[in-house]
Amino acid sequence: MFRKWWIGVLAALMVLTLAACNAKSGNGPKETAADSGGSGGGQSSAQNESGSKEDGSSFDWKRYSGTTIQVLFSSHPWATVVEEHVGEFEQLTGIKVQLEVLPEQQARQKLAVQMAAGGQDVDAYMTALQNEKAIYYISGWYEPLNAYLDDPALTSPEFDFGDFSKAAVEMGTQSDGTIVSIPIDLNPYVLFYRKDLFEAAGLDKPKTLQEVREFASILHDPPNVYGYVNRGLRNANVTNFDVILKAMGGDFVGPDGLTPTLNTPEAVRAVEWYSGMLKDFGPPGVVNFNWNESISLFQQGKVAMTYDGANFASQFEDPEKSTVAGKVGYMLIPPDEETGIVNADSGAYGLAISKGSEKKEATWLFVQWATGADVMLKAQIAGVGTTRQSAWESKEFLDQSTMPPEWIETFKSALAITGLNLPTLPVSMTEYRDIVGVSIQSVIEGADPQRAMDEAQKGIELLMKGATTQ
Amino acid sequence: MNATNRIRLTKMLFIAPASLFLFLILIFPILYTLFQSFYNKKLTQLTPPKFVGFDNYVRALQNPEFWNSVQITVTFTVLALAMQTVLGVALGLLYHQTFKGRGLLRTLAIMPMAAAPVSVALIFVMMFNPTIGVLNYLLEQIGLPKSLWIYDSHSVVPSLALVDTWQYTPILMIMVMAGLASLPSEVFEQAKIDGARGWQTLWHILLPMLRPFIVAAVVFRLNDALKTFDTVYVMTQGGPGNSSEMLNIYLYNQAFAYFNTGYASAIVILFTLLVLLLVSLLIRGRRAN
Amino acid sequence: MGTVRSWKQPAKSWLMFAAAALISIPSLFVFYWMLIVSLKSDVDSQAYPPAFLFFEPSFKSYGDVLTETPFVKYLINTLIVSLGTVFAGLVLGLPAAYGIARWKLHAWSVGIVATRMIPGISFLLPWYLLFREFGLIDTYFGLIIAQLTICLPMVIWLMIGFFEEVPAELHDAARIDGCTEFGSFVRIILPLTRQGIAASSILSFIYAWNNFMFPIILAGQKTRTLPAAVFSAMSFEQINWANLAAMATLVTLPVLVLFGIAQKHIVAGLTSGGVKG
Repeated sequence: MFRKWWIGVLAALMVLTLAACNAKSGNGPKETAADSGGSGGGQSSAQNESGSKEDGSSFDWKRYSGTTIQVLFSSHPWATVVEEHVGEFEQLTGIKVQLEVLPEQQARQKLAVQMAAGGQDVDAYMTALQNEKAIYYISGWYEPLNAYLDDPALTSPEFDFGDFSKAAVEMGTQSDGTIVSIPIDLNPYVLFYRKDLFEAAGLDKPKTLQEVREFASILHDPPNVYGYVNRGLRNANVTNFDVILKAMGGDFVGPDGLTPTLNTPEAVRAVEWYSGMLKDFGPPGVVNFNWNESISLFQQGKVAMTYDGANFASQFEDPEKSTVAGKVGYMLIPPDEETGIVNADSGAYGLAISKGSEKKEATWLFVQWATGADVMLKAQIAGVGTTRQSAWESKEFLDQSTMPPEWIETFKSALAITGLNLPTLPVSMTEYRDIVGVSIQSVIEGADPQRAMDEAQKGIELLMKGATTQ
Repeated sequence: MNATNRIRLTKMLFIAPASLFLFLILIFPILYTLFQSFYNKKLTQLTPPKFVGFDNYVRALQNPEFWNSVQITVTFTVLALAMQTVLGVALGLLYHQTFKGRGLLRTLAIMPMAAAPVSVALIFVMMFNPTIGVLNYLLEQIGLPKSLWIYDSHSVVPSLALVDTWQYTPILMIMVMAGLASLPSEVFEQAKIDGARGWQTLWHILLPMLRPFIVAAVVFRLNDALKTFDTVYVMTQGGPGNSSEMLNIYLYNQAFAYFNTGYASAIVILFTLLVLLLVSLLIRGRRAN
Repeated sequence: MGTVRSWKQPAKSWLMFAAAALISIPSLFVFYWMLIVSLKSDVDSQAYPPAFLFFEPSFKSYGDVLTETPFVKYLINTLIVSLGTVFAGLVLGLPAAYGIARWKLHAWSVGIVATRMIPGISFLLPWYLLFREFGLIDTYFGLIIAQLTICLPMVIWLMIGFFEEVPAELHDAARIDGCTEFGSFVRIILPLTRQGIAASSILSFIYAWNNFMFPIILAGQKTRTLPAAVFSAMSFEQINWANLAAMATLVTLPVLVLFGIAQKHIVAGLTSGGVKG
């Protein structure tokens, strides 16, 4: 009896609290004084305790000594490099770094939860720009970085923002010019093919997508070798599909950057090619392959051709991991014979600062260091296709790289023409990719391409309206 | 304090710590979820969410993808539980016998339930690979046709049910053994006397007596199987297409990938009701006998 | 409740053995494969046709796993959290199960078990918000509390059956002798249900040890547990299967060992106690 009474009170209290929670300004991170303008409103104007910047000559790394920052990374070779060397940063600045590395999806999940709680529990985090650029921005999860970059008090002269390739910087910048993330790596799509198989069959490099199909047919010899493999799994397949879509003159969105254009004749042709290749020349089960199943098979010598992010190739050339070391050729994905367009789009990771962070300036020091020339060079040598030109041109890289020159050349050519492999839309790109991905998958299993893309178009139209289909 | 109150207090003291703990720790999430289900909250929006009443629920119930998930969840559960129960009963009966090597083999038989589901799932992904996986290799050697396992929309749910069976049959087996142990020995004496017709004894007498134990075990597993997440998430993430999108996966995607907090909360409530429904059906079914 | 009796002749013993051995092959095969792959080199781990017995063993994957991840730290974390969960589960759960059994408070048991019907995913976000307020993120205490919501109802559910088996006369006899209710519980009843306690402890431990979802959100750098670490073998550009298998083996091994030691008690406990639900 008395038990029931206080349960009622407790419940009522909870309901009131929750109502209050929802009534506050959504769940954007709390606005703090240090927020305004980003160049460290309140805090850093209490200038330098120990350094001098009046003359702008000596940059004080130890300004924020004693702070502790929380960093959330997705599993990535660059993250591994940072992890290995973070002690150097801690020594340089006196800032302690609590670094957590999680697989991408779990990292995203955790970030979402932390942002829902206000965004103070994480200071810096890796962001997959192709997926997150728009939606994190409109949700107020990114701290704008322009002011930091422009402030010589906060940015070390060695940072050299100009060293980053234009394409990369663009990927980390919003259409209104706000820089939300410092780009870390680019992973443009390039074609991997088995030089040895081509030679044995007397084939030259394919000059068009149509030739790719022809060659796949010639080399297709199940169950020993399959002509071609790629990602069939919904969600994963959309970014790879982007290459073909754009090569055939299509796109996900119209000129306004928002209206979906998924069932245009170009899009239908593209899915005919993309899914058709998998249906006709792919290994069994390919409809549910993600990058790892695809790449594994290629690595084990069971496939003649595939394309994916150039960085995956680092495993191909390692004889401890692959049976095709030394037999792989690299080239840009050939153009469509009708349009002549070559596409080498890419996903990109960037490092961002949480808008709800209470230690933004100290975090900015970390960001500078982690994307600085030194760390990036180490990452480059470790096999990451970084975004710094200096890393690509450096002697150490060229000397120590175990990748064949053909790969380096192809990568560089790809960088010159690359763009993001997904449209920048203010919706959950995971949902977007699931909807479009299902359609692409259905065509692999035999569905009519026009109908499948009509479905996708309908689904995305609904999604953009704000009412999700699911 | 009089005797009655004293007894009442004592009873409370035994039960209170556990109940209070569970209450305190769960009341907030439950109320939070219930509450959010009436709003159109999205994790990524900055504007305050609007109260939408039962909109989220209606949307879910009208959504073919929701029902797809329900159907997949039920199919998976029925398949998995059927396999586990049959195997579990058979194994339970088998290990009830005394024979040489029983102890060792029994230990080996129940080991799967101790393995970490996520690790097991990843190993199975490896084994299920249609081209370079070991299971297809073995099938080929025996002369059976290869399967696409989790890489095809028709075979994915049975494959997942297989993994679940591998891992959790031991639980059913142990419960059946527990049941057998508590049966009066006369039953077995009778069977011994009957000799060759022992199988009939088994069927007509033993199994019905075992029923309460089997049902208890099935209820326990039903609860967990309906909510399977770890293994399916790791192995197929709901694919191919949506053909293995269990309700928990659907829920996870809505909440953490699509950021539809309000809608996801409604799904949670519906999901819980579904589990409640199925479990009570099963229990009622048992009581009816 | 008679004692266990089997009813077949010795000649059939070999048949039984063969049947049991045959059926146990699938169970074992998976473990065997886990172990084999972990001992292969990267290339071999994906080779086709796969090698079953004859290949060059390599401990590289174990080396990688142990050096690249703070394995020992994760192990200790997982141990602390699991043991804590088991302990707390017993302290809270045993009295509750006893109370329910002794005084036939079935409504309570239904209520408690019903809590397990709610999908745990829905707890993650509200718990994160709640735990933050109390500073429980990335603490052992926080993780234990979270995992108790799974293990406590299970312990109670299991133990109710055991406590129900204890004849009422025992309670009364103890009371007459002057024991308090609680005294009789601790000194007389508990020792009788020893094996049931062992069984529920082991099960609790297994569930706590293998829990993957909660630690991802609620643990941090300091308290990360093993299952979450298995995923770290899946990096950005490759899934290193050999390392993954090594990690999986290392995560599973402690529980299997524990299990092997204690299984006698589990089986005896579950079979002699009678779980009727």
